[in-house]
Amino acid sequence: MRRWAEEIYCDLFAAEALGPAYLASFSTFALTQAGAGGAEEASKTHPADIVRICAIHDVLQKRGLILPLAEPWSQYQDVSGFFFNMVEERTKLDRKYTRSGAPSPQVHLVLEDFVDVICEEIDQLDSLKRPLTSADLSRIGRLVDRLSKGIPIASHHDPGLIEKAKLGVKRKDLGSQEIGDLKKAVEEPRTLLWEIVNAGWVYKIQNVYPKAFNLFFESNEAPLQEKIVGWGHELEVTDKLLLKSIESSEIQRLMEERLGNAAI
Amino acid sequence: MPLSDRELIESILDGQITITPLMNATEQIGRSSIDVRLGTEFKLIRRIKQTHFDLDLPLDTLKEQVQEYTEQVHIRPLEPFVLHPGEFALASTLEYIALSRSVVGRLEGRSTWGRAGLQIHSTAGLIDPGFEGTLTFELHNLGKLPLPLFAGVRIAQIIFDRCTPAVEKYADKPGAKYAKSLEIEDTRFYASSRTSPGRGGPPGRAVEILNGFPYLLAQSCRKGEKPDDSRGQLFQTLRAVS
Repeated sequence: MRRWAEEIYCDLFAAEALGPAYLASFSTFALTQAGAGGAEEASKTHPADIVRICAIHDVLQKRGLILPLAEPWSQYQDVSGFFFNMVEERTKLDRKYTRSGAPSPQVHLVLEDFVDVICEEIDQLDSLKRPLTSADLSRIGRLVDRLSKGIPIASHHDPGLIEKAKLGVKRKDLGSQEIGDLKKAVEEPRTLLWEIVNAGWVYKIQNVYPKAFNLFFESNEAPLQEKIVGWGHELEVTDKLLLKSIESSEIQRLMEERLGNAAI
Repeated sequence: MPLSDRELIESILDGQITITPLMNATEQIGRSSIDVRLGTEFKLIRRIKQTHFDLDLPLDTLKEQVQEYTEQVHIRPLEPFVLHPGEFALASTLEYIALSRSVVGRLEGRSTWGRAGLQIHSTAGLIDPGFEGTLTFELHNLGKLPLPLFAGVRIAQIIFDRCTPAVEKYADKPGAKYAKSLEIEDTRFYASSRTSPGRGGPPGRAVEILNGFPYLLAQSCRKGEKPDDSRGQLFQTLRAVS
């Protein structure tokens, strides 16, 4: 039970830090890794996937991160629909346990007490503690655009400042103060980890995963194995882009912390 | 003529020049250049027993031999990579750089590091129009003291010029060896310096083609013809071997 608690704690921590991307990521993982017993099978070390998904779903709901499922997150449902349906089935599962009289430790653990306790604990952490806003969504959209051009997303422009600067740069009488302001406008604040990961998932769901379905139906005569390798390569390229973004963003954070923005 | 600070900002705003992350534009954008930072990947040259690379070997074997010759080092943020006197290492920019087809760049060192004896590149400082990716530094410590290098340090600068738009983007050029790279690529000198397709291919065929090429090209130009299929194939073969 202690080990299960650790696993659930990690799940909730990740959900808190990464938002809906973690639910999409874990659901995909569970979908591909499900053992013979499927999502309901637990082991000594890990609770059943369905329980973990319920817990992640709960914490996201509590934070207002998936209700309502706004675009582009609603598309996670396409990928993890199977598990989302299972979440719907959760009450039936509860009922099943109650009727049979068998103990339902997993369901009880997650749904009754544990989530609240952990949420309180996680509240102490300095991470995403507010519902997503439309500004968040449009920033994620811009990051997805950048990814589609193959550009890392460790930082991003402020579109408002850019538009203003486009007008300012045309002025003939630019002095050092104005040039300084223009430089500030093209400066890029760092992208936060949860933004990178969420943009990465949205990009994959919109652009990379649909191609996986085509592998089976396209008329191309190439062997399936070869096509899967090609598709896997594309996925790898995206992951490298995301890892590079995370690393650069982290370097920027550490440098700002240590030296202050003016000195870096 | 190199672009000035105003033109550099204009080009960034227009998307002619992309440099990301641009952490501190106030410091990085100079009067006629933009500073770039050191990344986290390094490649060191190892001492190996091999006396030379046999260019007649198949490309895959050569590639493996070159990989054995280099050692990859990844440093964590705030952890130094120490370049000892006389040592040579490949490194990359932290920034991803993309140029439009009408901008060309030139990588240069920065005075602070030059005074410490650090050479940023040995020979390859040109950034082609349409280039996209991270740039590779050819670091060489010419001084007498070990140099601790940290990721994120402003180590080099790029000077930009305008040019008439190149027809082909660097990444679209057949055989563009280092396009869209996010990592340090090993040298692929063998792909440029082979004069035969290697064992298993018709011996001397590439040399024969290379020798005959100037004559065929001159003939095409004189006639003002578009290359026919066989010449198109010849172009492709030449691009593959050269």
